[in-house]
Amino acid sequence: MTAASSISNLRGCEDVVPTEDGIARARARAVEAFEGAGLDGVALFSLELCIHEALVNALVHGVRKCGASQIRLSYEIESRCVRMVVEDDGAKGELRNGSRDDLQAGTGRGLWLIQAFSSRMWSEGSRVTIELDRNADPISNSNQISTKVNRGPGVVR
Amino acid sequence: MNPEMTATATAMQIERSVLQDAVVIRIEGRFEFGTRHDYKRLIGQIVQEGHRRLVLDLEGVTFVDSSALGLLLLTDQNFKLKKGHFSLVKPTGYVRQVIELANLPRVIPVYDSIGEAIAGHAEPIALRTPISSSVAIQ
Repeated sequence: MTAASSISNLRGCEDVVPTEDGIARARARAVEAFEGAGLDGVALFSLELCIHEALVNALVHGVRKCGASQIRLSYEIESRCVRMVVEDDGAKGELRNGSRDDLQAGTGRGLWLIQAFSSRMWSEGSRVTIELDRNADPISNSNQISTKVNRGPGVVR
Repeated sequence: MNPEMTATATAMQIERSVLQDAVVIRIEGRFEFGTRHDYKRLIGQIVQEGHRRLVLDLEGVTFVDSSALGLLLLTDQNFKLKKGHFSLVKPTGYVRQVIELANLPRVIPVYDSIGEAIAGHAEPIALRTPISSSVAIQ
């Protein structure tokens, strides 16, 4: 991740149009904002992947399966970490973990990737919070990911 | 809104060619949820035409997500069921790291060149991790 001193603090929030095009535009705007704040490299890729998977999850499970009509995306760059929140107004999901096995089972792949490329994630109902520490390098720490994935809570509706 | 950003938010280009009886697909750009229909349509067509050797050149891919990983596994499953061959070529950068992190190379062969992939198709399919029998690309 880019040196912390060169990254601006940033906050953003938007109501996402709950369509495939809508989530793609929201993700692109967020990534553009992260770039503008000085994030790059693996941190930017990880943030983009996590925000993308969370938005797709909200669209596919929240809107299409649980009747949500709204998706809200917010993000915040703080001194310690970058935090992203994706929430929808659909029926609340149940908590479960993702694992590499999910990659072949056909479910939970998005959750697994979020856990792999973030420092932490948790959910409260239909609200998913993802944090990436500013000094983290998710890919080089990938050997720790299986432990992290097996430990952390997640949401799959 | 930045119109250029919108236009490239889910852009993917696909080229199809045939080399030594193998279908070679070259993908450029984003291989993800928003572009999955283009990929599914093309793979469905290739399967329907009866091809049994498919090489997917990923060198130009800049972003993959869980949808793409799932589609790669389904494509592999489809070709294995037909006793065919499916392989990946040259994923680069973070795309390669996502693919490796997801352990896909344990299931789908990954080569550094199209030539190596086609040569690899002549070899017997190695015993790999079995996956579910349901196939639902289309």
